[in-house]
Amino acid sequence: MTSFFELTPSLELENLEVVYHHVATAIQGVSLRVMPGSIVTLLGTNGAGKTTTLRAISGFLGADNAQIVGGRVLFLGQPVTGRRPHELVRRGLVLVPERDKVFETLTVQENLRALVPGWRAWRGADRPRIRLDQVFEYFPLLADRRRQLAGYLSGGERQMLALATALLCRPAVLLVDELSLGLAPAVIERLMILVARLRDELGLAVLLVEQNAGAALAVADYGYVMEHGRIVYDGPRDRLLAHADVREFYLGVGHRAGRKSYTDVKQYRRRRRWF
Amino acid sequence: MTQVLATTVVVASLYALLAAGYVLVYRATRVLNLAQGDMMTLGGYFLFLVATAAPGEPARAIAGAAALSALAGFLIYRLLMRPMAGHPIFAAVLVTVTLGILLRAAIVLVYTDRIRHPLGLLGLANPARPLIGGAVVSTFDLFTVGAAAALFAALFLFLRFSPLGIQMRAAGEKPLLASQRGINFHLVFALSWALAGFAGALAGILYANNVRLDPSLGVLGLKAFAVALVGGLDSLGGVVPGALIVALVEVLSVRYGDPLLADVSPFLCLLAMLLVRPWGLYGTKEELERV
Amino acid sequence: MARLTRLVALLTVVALAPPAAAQYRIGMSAAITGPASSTYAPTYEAYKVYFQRVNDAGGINGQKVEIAYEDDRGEPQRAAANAKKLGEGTILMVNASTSATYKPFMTESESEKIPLLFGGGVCPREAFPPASPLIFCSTSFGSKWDSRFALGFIKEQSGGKKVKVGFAAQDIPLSRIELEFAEQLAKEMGLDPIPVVVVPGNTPDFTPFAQKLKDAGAEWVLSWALWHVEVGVFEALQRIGWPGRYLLYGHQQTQDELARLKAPSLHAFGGNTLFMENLPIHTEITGLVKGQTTHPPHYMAEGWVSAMVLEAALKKCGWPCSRDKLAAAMAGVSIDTRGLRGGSIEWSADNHYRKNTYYKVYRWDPARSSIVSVGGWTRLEIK
Repeated sequence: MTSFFELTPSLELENLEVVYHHVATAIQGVSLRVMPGSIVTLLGTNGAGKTTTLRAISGFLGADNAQIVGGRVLFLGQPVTGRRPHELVRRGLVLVPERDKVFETLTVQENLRALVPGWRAWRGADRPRIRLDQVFEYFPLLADRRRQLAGYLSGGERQMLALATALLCRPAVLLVDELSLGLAPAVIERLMILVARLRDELGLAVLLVEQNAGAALAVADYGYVMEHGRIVYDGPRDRLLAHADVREFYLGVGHRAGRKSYTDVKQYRRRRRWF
Repeated sequence: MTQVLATTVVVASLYALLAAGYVLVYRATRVLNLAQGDMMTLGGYFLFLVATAAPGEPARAIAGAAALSALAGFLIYRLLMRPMAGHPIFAAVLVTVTLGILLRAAIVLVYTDRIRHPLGLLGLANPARPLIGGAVVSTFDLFTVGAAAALFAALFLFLRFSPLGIQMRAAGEKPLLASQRGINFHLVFALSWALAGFAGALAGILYANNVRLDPSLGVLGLKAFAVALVGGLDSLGGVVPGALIVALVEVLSVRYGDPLLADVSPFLCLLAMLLVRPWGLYGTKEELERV
Repeated sequence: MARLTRLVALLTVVALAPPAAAQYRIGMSAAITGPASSTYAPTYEAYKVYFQRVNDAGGINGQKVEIAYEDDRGEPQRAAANAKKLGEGTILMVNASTSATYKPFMTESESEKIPLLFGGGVCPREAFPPASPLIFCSTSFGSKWDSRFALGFIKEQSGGKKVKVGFAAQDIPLSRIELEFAEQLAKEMGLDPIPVVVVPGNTPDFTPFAQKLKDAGAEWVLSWALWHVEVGVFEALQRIGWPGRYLLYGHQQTQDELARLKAPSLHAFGGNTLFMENLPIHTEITGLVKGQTTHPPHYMAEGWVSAMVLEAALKKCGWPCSRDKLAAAMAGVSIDTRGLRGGSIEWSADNHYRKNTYYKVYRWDPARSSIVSVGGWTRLEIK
């Protein structure tokens, strides 16, 4: 891979800390980087803090009485911590949420218009100018269902629509929350391949938050593992795939005597640098 | 009888203009704007204000009153309703009730509650217009029907096809997702309030020229609220049949029944609708919980 | 020592002595604000200007007139509070408000034996013979008498023929009762009445009601209600091409409205002379009131007459004047209204409304492009 040291990360978190209701720490000391033209995956089980991390980045924390109490979010080198959600979108930081990802009372066509794309090349970031026909080329299924109400789409089709609308916002960084949730393996595979295509053809930086480690690691370049609100391990895809604990607890591969909870496993020191 | 039909259409148009305001704000922000009737009165008094400042210039006065009312709607959202975001809906509704009282009190403070007639100030006349079939309506009756038709056509095109209209529908359905799509939903909500102010102003301006202007016109807003509920509170399309039904019942009860029923006929229709089809003619079923 | 004691005694007496009541103390409760204010606030304003002038000229019998004004907004609860407040230390209470406010004042008047003057609202039956000793009324209109006059006028205008008369009432008790009485009276007077059409106050369109009257074949329509209903029905009747004539009770806005509507078939009757007649008293009032009131001068007639009656009563009472002295004085008061009404107002022990009441009818004359009176004053004797 190219040398990353000359490039500014598209997205960087520095020691991010989020607290719920002023007392309960949700995530702590979270640092990660997403370089341009790469897919980074954030793995972890339910409640590990992945969605909180995404929310902290994209500015929706207010909803849960949560606050960012430490650390920074840097987008294209600029601090954007706590900026209003729609402003971030207009700068090119777009989230594909886990739930409520399409407008159900609007048709597919209208969904693709219910957005305000980034209108400036911010910080010189060359952002793809996606046209509607290009979107239909990536997602041919949507072209067939143009006039259908989004509420009647299947899970996979909804996910496609959500990705398509996110694309039309002209993102520099795409945050994807639980792409695989509730979908059949074949559909998941198709979607992951699509995300990889977007990285390759459009140079997008993608942060893929996933419980389904296998599917994510199939396309990711780099990965972070979160547990109890902290990053416990990170590394390039191959290292993750080879790691014994990752294999056991997130990939469901390998055997150990008896059932152990992952909390019994020695905590790995969080690594800051690329390996 | 043609006169019954003619009067029904005229009364329905007035109700429709007001009901459109309720539906716009509800669709976008989930708030019942119970000050809509008083916003109609405000529009009428804006007309009076501009007309007294510049008599004999109807176009300017009407445009000015409409613009001022739209601005008032925008400011009402920005200053009163936006801070209520995140609070329970009924608290926001109570704010609108208070707003209505304040608007009315402010009008009485400035203009006392003498009945006003801006028609003369504007240099316009309101002659009778006989129609085919023997019915007679006034010129401003026709304007009211025309204004309602034009407003609904414009709103339909706006919400269906224009980018801002689609954004408004999106923000009305899921404000959070709209935010995640770069839509500044506060701006969109403020726009819906401005449109409600505009629709109310149309009703107020036309009524002030057609009948009279006094601070108590807001009670018509109450009847129009029943119309909005009959048509389905989240459906602009339902307003038209709802208004026609209510107006027809009102006119028929005067002609053939007890005239005193006329006053309560919007609410009788509402009662009937709630028993048969609580979400209104074209409302969405799930909206039921929110009302 | 003795001198000190005397000094102390003197100071004590001075300190404890009740304050000298060197003024006529009156209390007035009016609907200064609130929905009915355009009808009753002018009375309050007329009183203020009138008694300011009286006091500036040295008062009555050498004493100033002090009036405590309270706003009741036409609401019974506020009226009750005002009645309690105004009943203390005053020799008379004035009510210029809606009939909803009457009860607390009547109760207070009776229990505290204070005379009560109704100066703008409809006169309660206690002012008519046989009158209650403490209740007086200066208001120009009166229930039943208005209808008696109106139907007499209609009969006269129709040359004694048995014309069809329609009635347009508002859905408030006062209006309905009056016009139902009128309907009954019309039959007795040899007219052909149509059942009363009741109109809700906030109806968006008066056409259906007008249609009812037109279809019933009314040649005359009489209306006695709030102005917007009276005129709303008339305008609708005009629009649908009704050829008949309309008679309504004229409120303060009569002059402005007749000029605005310019309709020769519209007749307005009332007890107060319109300012367009430009009598010397009108000029005087206009001059005094200019710039001091929120309502225009020609709204002041009702209140001015009431103030004139009160001034005459106080003069008659003399000084010092107590409650029963005042009540007795009022029972014999007689004033010249100087043209504001059709004639004088005379009260007697039995009749606290007036011995005779006068009515006049106005309409717009297109030929002269101005408001004219139809005939002169009609006198009705109150028995």
